[in-house]
Amino acid sequence: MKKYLKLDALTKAEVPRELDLRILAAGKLRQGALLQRRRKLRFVFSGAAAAAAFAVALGLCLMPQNQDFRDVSREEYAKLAALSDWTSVEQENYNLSGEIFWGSTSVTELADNRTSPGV
Amino acid sequence: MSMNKSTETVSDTHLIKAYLNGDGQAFETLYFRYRQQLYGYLSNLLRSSSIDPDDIFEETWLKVIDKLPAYRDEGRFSAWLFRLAHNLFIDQIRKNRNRTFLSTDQEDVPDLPAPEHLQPADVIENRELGEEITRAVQRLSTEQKEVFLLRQQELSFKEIAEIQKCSLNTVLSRMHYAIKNLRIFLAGSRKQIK
Repeated sequence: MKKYLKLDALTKAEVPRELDLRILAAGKLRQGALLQRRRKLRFVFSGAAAAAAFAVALGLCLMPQNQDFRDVSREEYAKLAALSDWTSVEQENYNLSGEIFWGSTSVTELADNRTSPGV
Repeated sequence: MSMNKSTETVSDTHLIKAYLNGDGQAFETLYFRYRQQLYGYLSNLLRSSSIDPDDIFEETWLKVIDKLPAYRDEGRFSAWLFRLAHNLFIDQIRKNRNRTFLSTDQEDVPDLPAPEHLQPADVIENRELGEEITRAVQRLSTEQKEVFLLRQQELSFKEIAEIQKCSLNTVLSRMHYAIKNLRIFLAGSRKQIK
């Protein structure tokens, strides 16, 4: 390295103490802010990860065991329900049919009794 | 505030990382390592101007503190530090728009030989000589003064070129004329240089 003239008066100077104190205080303040920000970020990320894990676990717990029932859409369910939902006319028809059936059965039984010997 | 000798061997990059990881002592070590050099540089650079070196000094370190998290180890910390100071100094000049610096016409300066009894490579603590040279440095143009002072801080010409945002040849030229002018100023001084 080429040699050159070097003077302390040009390279160094005593710094006023107030400047030292202000700058060092600013350094500590900034360091505190950086560390706090880092802690907050860590909290946010770990919280988000925990929330995601909880959501997955909840979803797994709530999964129905009978998939068929859940697969039935509302419309189909309404159709199924409608089958058991009789109107009064339909109910009357059923009752009459039943009476006719049971009535004819009774007649047949009576006829059988008349024709049977010993009566 | 005193520094431990063991901290002197720790690299600047290591100190910065330690600071960012919460080591309270790290920034103090880094600061004490460079504060006198930076203050000396600014004091000499701004001696003949209306700009207060204290303001630039403090702003420089505040900027360092602010930019440390994004600091990349792409060169020496000292070069980065002086670059920040230079940029703030230029910003202040533009704000003030008051150039009080003297500039010499480089073309007309005659080439005079240096005094033979001046010994290079030694840290000369002779008070009279120091004062003479300090006064002579103030007579240089801003650019020449800056190159000369940064060279005194042991920055390479390449680093100085990055700071001044000019070519290496321009920096070398400025240094050449700075030395030339200093020789003239010193030779023209009436005091005996011992």
